[in-house]
Amino acid sequence: MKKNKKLILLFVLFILIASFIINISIGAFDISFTEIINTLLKPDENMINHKVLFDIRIPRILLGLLVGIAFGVSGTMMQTLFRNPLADPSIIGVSAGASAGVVLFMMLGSYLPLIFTQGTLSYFSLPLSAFFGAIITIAAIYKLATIYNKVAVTIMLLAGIAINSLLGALIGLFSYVSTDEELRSFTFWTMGSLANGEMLNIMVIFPIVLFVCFFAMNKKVELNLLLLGEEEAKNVGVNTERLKKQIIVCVSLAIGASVAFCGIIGFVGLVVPHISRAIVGSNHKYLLPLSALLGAFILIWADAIARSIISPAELPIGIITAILGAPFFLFLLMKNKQNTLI
Amino acid sequence: MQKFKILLFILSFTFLGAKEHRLVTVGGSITETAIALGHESDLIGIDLSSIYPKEIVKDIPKIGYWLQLPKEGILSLKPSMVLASERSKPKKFLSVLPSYGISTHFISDGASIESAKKKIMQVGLALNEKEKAQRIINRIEKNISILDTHISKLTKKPKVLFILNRRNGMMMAAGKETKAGTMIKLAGGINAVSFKQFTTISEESILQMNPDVIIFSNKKNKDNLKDHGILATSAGINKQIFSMDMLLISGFTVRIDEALSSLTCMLNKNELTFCK
Repeated sequence: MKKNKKLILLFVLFILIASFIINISIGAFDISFTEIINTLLKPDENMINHKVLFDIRIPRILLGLLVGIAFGVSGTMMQTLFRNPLADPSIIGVSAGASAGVVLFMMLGSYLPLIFTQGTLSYFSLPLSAFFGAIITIAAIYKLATIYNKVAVTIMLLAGIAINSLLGALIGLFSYVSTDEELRSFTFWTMGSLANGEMLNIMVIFPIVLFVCFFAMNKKVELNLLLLGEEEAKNVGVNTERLKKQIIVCVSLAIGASVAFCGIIGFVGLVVPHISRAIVGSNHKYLLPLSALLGAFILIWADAIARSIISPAELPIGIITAILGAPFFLFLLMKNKQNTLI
Repeated sequence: MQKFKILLFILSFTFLGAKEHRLVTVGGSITETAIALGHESDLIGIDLSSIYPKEIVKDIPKIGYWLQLPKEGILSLKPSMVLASERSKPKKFLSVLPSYGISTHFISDGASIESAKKKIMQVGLALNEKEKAQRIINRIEKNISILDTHISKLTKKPKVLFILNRRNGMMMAAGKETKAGTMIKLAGGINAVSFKQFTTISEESILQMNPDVIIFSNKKNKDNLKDHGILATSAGINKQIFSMDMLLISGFTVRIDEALSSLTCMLNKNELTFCK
């Protein structure tokens, strides 16, 4: 059985690597495999191909991989933390908080010093406001749910819902007073896109994702115990309070950074852990790596569709993940309906 | 079959050869200007806001919306020139287009007659059509100066309401800083609303404003006003309810003089000398 699961992981890893290679040849700009090899061998002769591959396409796929891993691992940790199959990173306010950050930046942008809205720095203003929006919201929800230095998970869930709708109202207010252009930009942002794939962004997000993966794998035993219930985990010696805080910090970092660069990409964080659990069960030793691999796999293929289906135009990736994710999630739900009854 | 293929191959080359540029335009008014300057056959890609003239733009590949242009999408068309609105995004990508050997021009795209003229000249210079562009600009200047003399003589400024949409009783009125709002001001009208952007207004508030002229962006909405409260406003009583194509009123393009003259006529009960 153990061996089987390892084989599954290896198999998915192999498919992911293959997908990565295939993805390099997918896109609006037509470059065949032979051309790719030629480009790699003689970059000087194939300047344009080289630029398209290394400045646009490969960074984009890498960003997809990293964000997919972030969503897969974070989603799994959230569902374990809340012991609730409906939990996904957005429930602790990441998406709504980031949206509110972006909205505030767009509304107040014209009052800020020019340094934030023009020139090189401006490039980071939007991701940073998304990131801080996410982090501040999570911190608020977390604070609300903390009683006597303990985190009440149920309250956190409910506070998350309340804060989400509060921020939703703020966003609605913005759309009421915004210009046509701002509203359009914001709408695009909420539908997500990997078009920001650039080496600079990848350098920012890579260490975060790496750290979160290490943390998650390091805590796989504790996470397994947490599945039994908080009290039970405590009884066998897990410092659950510290673990909960660590999980929340890690998820906010990973998802905050992803949302900052890619906007809101729905359903991946929710669906991926479910698929993984259906394949390898609830043991985090296998569940976490499989979620990471599947998250990356789904995201890079969703992006491949997004960037080629209506080429030369592009669809926002959030639309693709929702169109593919929602029916699949329903399918899983229906398939497991009987188990839930018992 | 083989011969046919060869023929097709050669034909495709002659067709390609006919193109002076492989041109991608971003921004409805810029596409319209390029077409007005006679370069419709050069166009190989346009953005989604380029919807006029309909018969010409409908068959040209669309590269998405000007606020989120696809990087590979633009490159995949292998353009030789990109004419993009100065407001199009992402800026960072557009500014590196020259390194792909694509001549890239950022075109003025603001809500003013000056900007419209600048736009026409910038497109003209990029496409090597300076004279044609100048001719259009001269025509616009001439027509607008005639309009201005008429507008300056008017003693009474009508209160105007521009309504974008009418669905389930919800109406969007154009605020002062929208393009339609700017046009109303240029045509010598006073905007009935005081806010800046497009905002929903109720039937009741329209009655309160009591505008002298109401303009719909959609002819169907204008015609389906049976029993509507709007008919009780001074515009409704005096039958001063019109419709004007959204593109025409908000384009700031080569048709700016035409747009302004028909708007001025609507505002003045068609009583001016140049009104039909």
